[in-house]
Amino acid sequence: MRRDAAFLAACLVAGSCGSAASSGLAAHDGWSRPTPPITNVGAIYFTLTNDSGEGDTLVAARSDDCAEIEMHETMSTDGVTTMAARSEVAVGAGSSIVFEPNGLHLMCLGLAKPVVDGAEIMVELDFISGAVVELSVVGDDR
Amino acid sequence: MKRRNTTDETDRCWRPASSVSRWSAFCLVALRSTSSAPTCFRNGVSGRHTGAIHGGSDTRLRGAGRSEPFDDKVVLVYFGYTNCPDVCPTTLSDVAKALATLGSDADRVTLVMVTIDPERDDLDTTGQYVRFFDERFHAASGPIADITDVATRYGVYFKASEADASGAYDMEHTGSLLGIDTDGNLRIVWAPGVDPDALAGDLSELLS
Repeated sequence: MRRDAAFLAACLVAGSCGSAASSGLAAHDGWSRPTPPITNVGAIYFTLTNDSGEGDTLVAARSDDCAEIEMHETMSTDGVTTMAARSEVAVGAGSSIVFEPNGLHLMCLGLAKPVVDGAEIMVELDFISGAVVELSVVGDDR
Repeated sequence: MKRRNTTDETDRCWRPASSVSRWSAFCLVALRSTSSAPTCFRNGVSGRHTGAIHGGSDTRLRGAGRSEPFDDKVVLVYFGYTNCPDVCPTTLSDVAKALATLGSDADRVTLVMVTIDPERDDLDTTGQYVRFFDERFHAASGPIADITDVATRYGVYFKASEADASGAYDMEHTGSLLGIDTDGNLRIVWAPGVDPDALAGDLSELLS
């Protein structure tokens, strides 16, 4: 509750309360591959859309199910795969970005429990505008 | 030593560097000869219940469990690690999906994941990890120098990233999947992101 109040205050000051509905930002089709119990890292995939007239930038993500979430991008060059941390991911006005295997993903470190098929993880996505978008992530071995 | 037949290679086929002889490139899982078998596992890379890969005792993956010859199997080799959130589980899951479409032929295919992060992945950890994706998968681990040696023979590169403040690190690595046919020849290298159906088709070809 306190965070909601703080958020409301912040966005009133900023003059543009960036809820998912009013910002034109949406995150959907969230999924995460079920994880072996022996590991405590996982990847979160989803589609981010920006239907507004202005670009925005994803700067952080958090979830009660992850001690920490980092934004990563897997890149492959000549078969060598590297994972680079991304401090931000911009999404232009009227465009969308797909977080998908072997590409952009949220890396969940310190999984509270293994990702299980069909189970839901809630994630909050923070944007530079102050918008906060909720993302539902479902365990799915697709 | 019999030279590698290159006439049926496609551009998907990995060609070992000329300085790498056939046996050394394939020694991890694919050595087929016995009497003149080089001691591929003299360095002590060990695997979980994989046992005899082929040949004499020098060519066995050493580890707990029973021997399981890979004589008539296509062997997929993957160099990965269990703290890998994206490309490793995606690859292992896609291999499992490909095997599921192969029906009974899947019994003639197996996968060995060699950890490239033995500091965090011992044999047991790696074994539990891979068997989550498919009970038929196998794990291999060992001292880092030995893993590096084997990886190099396969043309596989890996390196740990610089650890962050909490000591966490990632691995950059060759994320390709290596396919070795029933004759012990490394035939196909799949880049990360191969479609499971395409993989299944390639495996059928290797099995035929």
